[in-house]
Amino acid sequence: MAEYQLLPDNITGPNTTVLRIADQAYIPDDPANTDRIVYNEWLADGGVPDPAIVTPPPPVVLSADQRIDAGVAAAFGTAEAAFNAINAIPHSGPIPARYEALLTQTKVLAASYLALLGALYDIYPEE
Amino acid sequence: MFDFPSAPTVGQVYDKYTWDGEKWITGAPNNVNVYAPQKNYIINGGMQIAQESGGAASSATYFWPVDMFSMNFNATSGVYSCSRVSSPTPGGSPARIRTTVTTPDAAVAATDLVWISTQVEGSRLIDLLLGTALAKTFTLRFGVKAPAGTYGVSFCNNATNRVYVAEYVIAPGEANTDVVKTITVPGDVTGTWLTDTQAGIHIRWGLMCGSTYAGAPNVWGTANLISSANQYNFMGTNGNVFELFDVAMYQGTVAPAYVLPDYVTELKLCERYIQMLDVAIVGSTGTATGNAHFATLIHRTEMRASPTITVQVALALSVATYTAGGTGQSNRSTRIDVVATAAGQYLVYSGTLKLSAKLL
Repeated sequence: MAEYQLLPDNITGPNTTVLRIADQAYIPDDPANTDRIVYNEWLADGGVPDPAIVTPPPPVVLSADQRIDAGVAAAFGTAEAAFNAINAIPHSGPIPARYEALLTQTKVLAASYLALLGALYDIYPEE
Repeated sequence: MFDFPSAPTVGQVYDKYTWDGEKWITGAPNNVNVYAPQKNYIINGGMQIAQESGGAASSATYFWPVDMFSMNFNATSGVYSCSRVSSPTPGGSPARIRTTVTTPDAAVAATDLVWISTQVEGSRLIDLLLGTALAKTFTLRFGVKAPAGTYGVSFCNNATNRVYVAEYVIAPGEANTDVVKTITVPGDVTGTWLTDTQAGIHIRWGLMCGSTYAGAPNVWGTANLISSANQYNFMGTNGNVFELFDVAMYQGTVAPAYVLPDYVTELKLCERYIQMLDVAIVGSTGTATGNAHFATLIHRTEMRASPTITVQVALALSVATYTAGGTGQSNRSTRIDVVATAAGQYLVYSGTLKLSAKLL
């Protein structure tokens, strides 16, 4: 462990302040600051500060409204894709094959409809 | 019956008369506004303000028992205890610095040092014109209570390559009693004397001085000295007590009677170098704005430089991390960033920041 440690960036920009580990003092990048003068001399003598510890952002937790909106959007997208697939089934050709395609898309459509209702009423537990 | 000195020096006082270079005069010279107070270059010479120590004692070096004055040692095996103590001074201050030897060191090695130091910012003493042909004479006056012996005070520039040592004597009859000493120093006409926001002059009271830092008194030189070879070894006897109080420095050869500064005014001067600032951040963290808050705190007094910040947290709820300084930090304001543990939290952060732009 070095005597000093770099700091992560601020919310609004880079952070050139360094942390003096012994007393947890934050030393600004000002050549008139006497602690900074000591730090700069330490650097010139070959000192290497510890890297900044970047705290990962906490997980984003969606609100109930956001979860409903996301569920509706996903269900709508799926239903729209199933609708388009059904409409794309040709009117001619072997019946078994067209029936299989229709059956598949109907299941997807039903699943998305259930998801849509679930999102709207927020009745399903979170994954 | 009057017996005026036959060869007076300018400013010399006899009875109620002062020699102006040509004649003995009463009161002030004709070209001086008698109502204008003389500028005292020393801040907190009354030892009134102790923001950092709060009056606590310490045996450490680079310890600040009061604002603007530090207690220091180098190499010695001796130990002292230093603090600000409540003890009325002749100048009317309620406090003084007291240093007591708790472990003696009778053998003074070459690099052994114990000294009390104060600095005056360059911008504050710019009118002394040090380092120029027009450099002005100045006079240091201070109250002291110490064992009998010869002591030294040194004056030096920021680079410590222009140094003047002066001696003063505590006579046996003055030992361990309150006495006032004055030292007049001819302004240095050479060397580099800073007039910016850094230390313009260092004033150092020697209590112990090894040969490496001892030199000839009463002459400007280039060696970094604390005292003279005659310096009494204050650290040589267990229980020795050295007290410093009522410190002032004026332009010219005469030091007027000490006037204790107004407390509020003196505190504002001290805050240019150190101040305590309370901070409180209360807020809720949404999802759109992220999980962090920051506050910019305006300093009570514009500081000498952007300060070093030490955080003393009083209360932190839902706070994952905090950092001080960074973007926007300056000598006029301080910034602190606080990151919550999660979004949607009600965050509370309060504490005190110690802001230090002390002179070194």
